[in-house]
Amino acid sequence: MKPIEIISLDFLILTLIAMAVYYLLAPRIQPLWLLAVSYFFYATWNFYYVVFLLIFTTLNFFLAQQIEKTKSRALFLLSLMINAGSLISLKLLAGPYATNLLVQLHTSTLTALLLPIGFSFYVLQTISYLTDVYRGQLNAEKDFSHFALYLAYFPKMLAGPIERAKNFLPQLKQTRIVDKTSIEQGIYLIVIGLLRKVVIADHLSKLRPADIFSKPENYTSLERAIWLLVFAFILYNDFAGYTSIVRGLSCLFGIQLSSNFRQPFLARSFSDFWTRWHITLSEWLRDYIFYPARRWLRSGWSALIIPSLLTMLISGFWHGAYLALLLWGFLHGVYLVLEQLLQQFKLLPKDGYKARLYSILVFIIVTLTWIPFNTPSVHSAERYLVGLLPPYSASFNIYILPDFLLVFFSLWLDWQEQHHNDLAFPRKWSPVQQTWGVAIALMVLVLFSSKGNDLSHFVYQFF
Amino acid sequence: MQKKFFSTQTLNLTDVKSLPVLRSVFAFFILVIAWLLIAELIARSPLGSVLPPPSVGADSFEFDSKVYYLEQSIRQRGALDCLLVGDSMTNDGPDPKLIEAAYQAKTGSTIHCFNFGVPALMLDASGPLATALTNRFHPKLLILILSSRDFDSKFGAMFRHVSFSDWTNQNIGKTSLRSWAVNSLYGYRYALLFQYWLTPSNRKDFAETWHTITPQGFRPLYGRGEQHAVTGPGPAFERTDASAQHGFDQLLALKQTGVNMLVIDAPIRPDLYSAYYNNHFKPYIAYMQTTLNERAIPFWLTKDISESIPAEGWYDFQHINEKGVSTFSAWLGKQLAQNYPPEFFK
Repeated sequence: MKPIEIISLDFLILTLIAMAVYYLLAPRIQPLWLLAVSYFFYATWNFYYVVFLLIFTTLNFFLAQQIEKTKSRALFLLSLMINAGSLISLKLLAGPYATNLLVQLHTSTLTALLLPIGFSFYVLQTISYLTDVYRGQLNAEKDFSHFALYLAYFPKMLAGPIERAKNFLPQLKQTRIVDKTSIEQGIYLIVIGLLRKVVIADHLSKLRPADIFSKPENYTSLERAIWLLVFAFILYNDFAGYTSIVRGLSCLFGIQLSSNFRQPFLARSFSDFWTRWHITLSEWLRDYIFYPARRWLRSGWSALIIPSLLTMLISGFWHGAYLALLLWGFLHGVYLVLEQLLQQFKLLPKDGYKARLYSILVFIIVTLTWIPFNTPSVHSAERYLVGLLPPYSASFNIYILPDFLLVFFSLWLDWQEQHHNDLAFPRKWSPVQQTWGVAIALMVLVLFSSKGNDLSHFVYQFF
Repeated sequence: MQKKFFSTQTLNLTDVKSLPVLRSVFAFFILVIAWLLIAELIARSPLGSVLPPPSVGADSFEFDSKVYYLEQSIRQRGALDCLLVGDSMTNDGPDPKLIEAAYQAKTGSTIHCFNFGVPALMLDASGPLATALTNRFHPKLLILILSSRDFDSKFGAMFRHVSFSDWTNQNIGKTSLRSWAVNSLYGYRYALLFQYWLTPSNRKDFAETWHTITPQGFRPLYGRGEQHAVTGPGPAFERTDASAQHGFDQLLALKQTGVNMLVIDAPIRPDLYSAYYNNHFKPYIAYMQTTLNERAIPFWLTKDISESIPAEGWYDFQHINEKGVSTFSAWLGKQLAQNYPPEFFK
């Protein structure tokens, strides 16, 4: 069976079937049904993923029960070691430095068990759950199916959002209602998500030269600058679009998932950026790395420097065990430390034109910092960056300039979200605007839904 | 209550009907209809001739352009008198504008010609394409420019698909929803063009095709980069290719349906003529003369005109440049005037 992608006809059919049955079931049965659908969805990727997830779920379910019962710090630390250890092992095995090992061990079963898709997301959910149970902030879940669904819920299975148990599990206990409000919110989130993913991210990423980050020396300064900027919008719209779609979908099951993005390119500072970019990961890192580290260090320079650097280094490592990603995390850690220093010395502009200039500076630096995020090595990142410095070279394929209007479309979507303070912003429009706005969005989606074959060959070369 | 397995309490559709977003589906269909109407009105108005040619989804901008220009030409100038069909030697050989001028100079009457040459259109593909074109546009004279190479289908691999496209299928009676749409809805064709445009590597090719093909379908070869290395003709003429023979039979069958046909042997550069003659020409000419004669289809040889095209009028051994085009087109116009008087086209 081929894997079911989120944006596919198979996924639409699966979701419609899941929804139709879900609406007919009693609320206490619904989580079981969603669990069955989720495991089926996950099994389409690889049957062994489900086996691994089931073992992982069972182990952590009972660990949480025991931690709650015994309040044992040793057991809690052991559970953390198991979960964090498996995440670290996974990242190391999936990174570039374990290539030889994987080649030697390569069998499909073993690889599947070593590298289950979505693991990076559900292991963080598990760690937060165990920590909250240990801290007494959350009761250990007694219903195995609810806990299993917390980890496996199919809309968020592959790439989050990284939900907190205290937000998710209570929704399974109550009677979920799918009414006018949730249908409206769900549809708008799906439509906006599709526009971001299909129209903006997928289209712009098809334009991007495949090797621009691995072989930057093949491109001019202007090309590197433009593609770096465009990459920021591709990455943002791809992930924000995906999150919007799965959140919208979940609304139609009466389950609210957390938002992950809130106009990150309009951030006023670096710390503000991290409250807007991959919010569920940032909050997880804040609550389970940053705050504990700061509490532990209490005060002084080390409390100012180490928690931010450590948090962002872990963020880099979570994205992949590459030196370039660690550099990306380290740089963001440095920006946060410097910003805290500016704040301490009351040098951080709060409003006026200086604040706006600072906001632009933040955007430029964040964009430049995407270089190590996307290059395969630190050396490639360095070569990319050097190419942005003088002497400049400026040729560019003018045929793709119209496509960059999509960057402004992305900014317009952000502006609407911010202006209406709502990620499903069309519901704040007038009824006529809503009707025609969505109709136009559907037209655009239909036009962008497929692309013509590449016909770019010189007709006469085939004689 | 706790034991209940089924329940409908989750889905609460109260007031859902009032959601504006549900009316968007109707609004979407209104937009689609408006788009189709506007596209149809504009493409059929004089403005249509300045618009880029929409696509028929056949994976060829050249084909798209020719279909559109032919539609525009008939819309603006009326019924089609002569339609030239063949491979690259047709596509970049006779210029309909020069043919018409030569015809008018000789007879004082104007005719309406269009060049529907398609690069590498071998006989297996020209059969269905010529059938589709005559069914759709009803030319008074179908002119096929052929060479012995057309009997070898392997030359046409890259462009064969245009002759088996939805557009062609619809016009030879193989109907589907898509084939109907590419023949009947300009709005759909412009949507297809947009989707080709979304693939950025297509854009340059599209712009070049759009600006190179004349409104009468002629695509000059000159000005398109380096001249090809001159190579001799390929293997000797054989009729062993079943699909090419089938295509040729399809062409011959058009005569039975009342289509006036004329077959012209494609010109060959004179200094390669002797080699060509020894290998290909004799059996090919003999076969064509016999077969076409049986069906009363005229077959014109071009040995004389090939020799009168100056050496600098050739692009390669079978393709001609601007000098060759003017000589060949003028010759063709005069020959038409002599053999097909204005009464024929009335």
